[in-house]
Amino acid sequence: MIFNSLAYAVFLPVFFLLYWLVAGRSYRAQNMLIVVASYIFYGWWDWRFVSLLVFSSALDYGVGLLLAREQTAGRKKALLLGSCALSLGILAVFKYYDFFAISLAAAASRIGIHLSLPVLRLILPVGISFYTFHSLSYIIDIWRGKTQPTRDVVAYFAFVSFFPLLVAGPIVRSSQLLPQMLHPRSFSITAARDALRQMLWGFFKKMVIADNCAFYVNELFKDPQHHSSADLVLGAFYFTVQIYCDFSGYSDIAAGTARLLGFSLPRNFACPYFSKDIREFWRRWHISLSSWFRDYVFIPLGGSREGRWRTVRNILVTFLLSGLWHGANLTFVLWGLAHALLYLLLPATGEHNRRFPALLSGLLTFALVNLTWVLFRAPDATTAFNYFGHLFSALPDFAHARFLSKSLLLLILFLFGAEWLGRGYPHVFQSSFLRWPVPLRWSTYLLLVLLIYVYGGKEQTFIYFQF
Amino acid sequence: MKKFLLRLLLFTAIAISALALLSSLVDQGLRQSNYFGQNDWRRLYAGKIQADLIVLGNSHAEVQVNPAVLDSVLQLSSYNLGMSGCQLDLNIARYHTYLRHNKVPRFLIVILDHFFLNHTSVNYNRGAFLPHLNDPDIGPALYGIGEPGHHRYLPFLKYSRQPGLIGTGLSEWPGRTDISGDTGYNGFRPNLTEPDEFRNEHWGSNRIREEIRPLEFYKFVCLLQEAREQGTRCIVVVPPVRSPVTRLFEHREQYWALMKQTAHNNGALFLNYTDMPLCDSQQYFYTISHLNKKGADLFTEKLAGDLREISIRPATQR
Repeated sequence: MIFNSLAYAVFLPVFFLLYWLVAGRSYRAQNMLIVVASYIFYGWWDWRFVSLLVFSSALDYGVGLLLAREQTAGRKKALLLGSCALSLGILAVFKYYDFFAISLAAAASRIGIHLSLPVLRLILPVGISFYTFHSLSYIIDIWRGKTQPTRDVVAYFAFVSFFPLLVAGPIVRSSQLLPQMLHPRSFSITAARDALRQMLWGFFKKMVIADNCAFYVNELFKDPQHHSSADLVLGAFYFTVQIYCDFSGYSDIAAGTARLLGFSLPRNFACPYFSKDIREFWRRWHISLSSWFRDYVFIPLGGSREGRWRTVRNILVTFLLSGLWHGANLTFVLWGLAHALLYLLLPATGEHNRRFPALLSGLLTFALVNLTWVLFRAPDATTAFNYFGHLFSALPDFAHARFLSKSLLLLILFLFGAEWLGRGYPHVFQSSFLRWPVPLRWSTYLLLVLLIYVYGGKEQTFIYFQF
Repeated sequence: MKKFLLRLLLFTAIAISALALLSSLVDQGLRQSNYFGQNDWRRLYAGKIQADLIVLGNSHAEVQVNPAVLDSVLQLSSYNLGMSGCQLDLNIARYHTYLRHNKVPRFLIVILDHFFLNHTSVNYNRGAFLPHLNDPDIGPALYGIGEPGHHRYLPFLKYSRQPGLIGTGLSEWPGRTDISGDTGYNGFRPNLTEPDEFRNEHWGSNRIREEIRPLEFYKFVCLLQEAREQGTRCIVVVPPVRSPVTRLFEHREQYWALMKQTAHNNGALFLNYTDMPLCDSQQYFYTISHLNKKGADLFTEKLAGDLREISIRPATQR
């Protein structure tokens, strides 16, 4: 089930009423309801993969309890490694096996070795990368002694399968969400109203901005060599906006839904396109994933405390793994590598270099991020390089650009304007907007609903579902 | 919680009312416009057609049968209700709507090409039908060919993702008296392309097998029977197409024989114009399967002549 569907429009209100009016007196009953609803939510896409989710949850619940009981450091480590290997192994088989099999066979054939590896062509279970990382963080934190395992099996299953986060995050740590599962929740009108505002903004970003950008992006990335330089510049820009609105829109809807149910989630996007350098960009973009890689990959490797070359190595490994996490494609690896190089080149731009004014460094950062998104979006490396080749083949002539859509650009301008005004807040509607008179606020909500109706693009799944 | 739910209900009620109002404004505006034949719809609903002869069919009717020629030869009033992209399903729906507001015609011409009975309407202009979704005949026909059913309950949703259509509807809503811009005459919308601007459709050289969907065939027979019961003389007409196209249809003789038999069994006449001399000449076509205005007038003249002869000697059939 996806958020922008009629099924969800029926599912959520029904669940909400059952959650507060029927099960509202007992948080355990609410947790049980979350588990049932989450499996229905997940199974709506493909019921066969619910068993994988159940297995993954049961595995890490059991391993968590064993880890707490085990006294020997060696056995604890073995349990940890075993659990990680199994979880990551499942992820690897579904997500990466075919990619590595084909890549290995291609590389071997170049040196004259004929390798015939079977290609599995498995369907990638939606959200597997997200819920795998959820449960991995739980196990690792128990092993590190940062958190205690829970005996409440329903609460744990609810934590892993919590439907607002299940298919596209944010990746929430057990220390952030599990305690909330283990305590009673109370309904707050203020929080609920704010949640609905956040969801409305999320739907606007996804259905109006992202889905309409997708229409042009899909055309341009099909065969970039047949488009002008100006159109390719627009294509990179549209995708930059699309991926932000798609993903942050999803995060807003997820966070809003969670708040309707009495849960508080950490912020996942903090206006990343207003960043003044790449380091700031990575503090603001997909915060839950970048902090996960920081805490569970970069820091365990030594972080930046073991000398310059080790730091470079650690940054490279972290970004490459982050790229690979997004998908089994060379383009994601190249995207990760590109960001690693930009990250390492920090002294040339940004707040640490006072020769660069903030606006200039912000625009430079935005332009660089635009370019790296081409790698992310292209279906393969050849298309990506074709895209760059034609993009830089001539000076862009926007007067004759076929894909210049004034209405879309106006909406994007409205989006950036609103986000700028609300940049200090978790979402746009928490800003000074709250001080507007009620009729004006309600008119704004109605206007957004109307824009969603009028400009809501053809129903597209969320980009991050494929990860 | 109660206060929250009440405010949410209030907002939802306001939103639904606003969307319903907007939907109504766009519906009215489109109905008043010249958007894709709305002129014909207006006359239909106002009971201003009242024709003696009605023509049904897809684009082969709309651009190829000239009511002015029919009127002049047959000395009666005729109207072309054919619509491009619309197969039997939408034609029947529109005809029933017509009958609710206008008199029963004496003659009904059904233009039957090779696709009329083998699939539902898929290439029809949805925007032209949306303002009439609430019509008791049009609505069910549209829902039957894929219009989402929830559009009947959720206001304005049918116009979702159609900003151009919404803009047209709202701009026309205040009303217009000027209907210029509608190139049609009594529903006939000829293509005025000159012969040397022939537009090639690529049909390839592979044979095409005629297919008849059982449900569409059943609806066709029901239409003939209904016309008969109402005292309407039904004439099934196979229009001219370029000869190379006709030869592509593998079982055309059997197909036409079946249609002729079906027409005859239900009191209708059957006329086949696929061997008219103009089928061998590109100058009368603007695509490989559609007549231009010159060709349409010639075809209609021939058709009218044959009908005049038949109306004097009703037992004669080609």
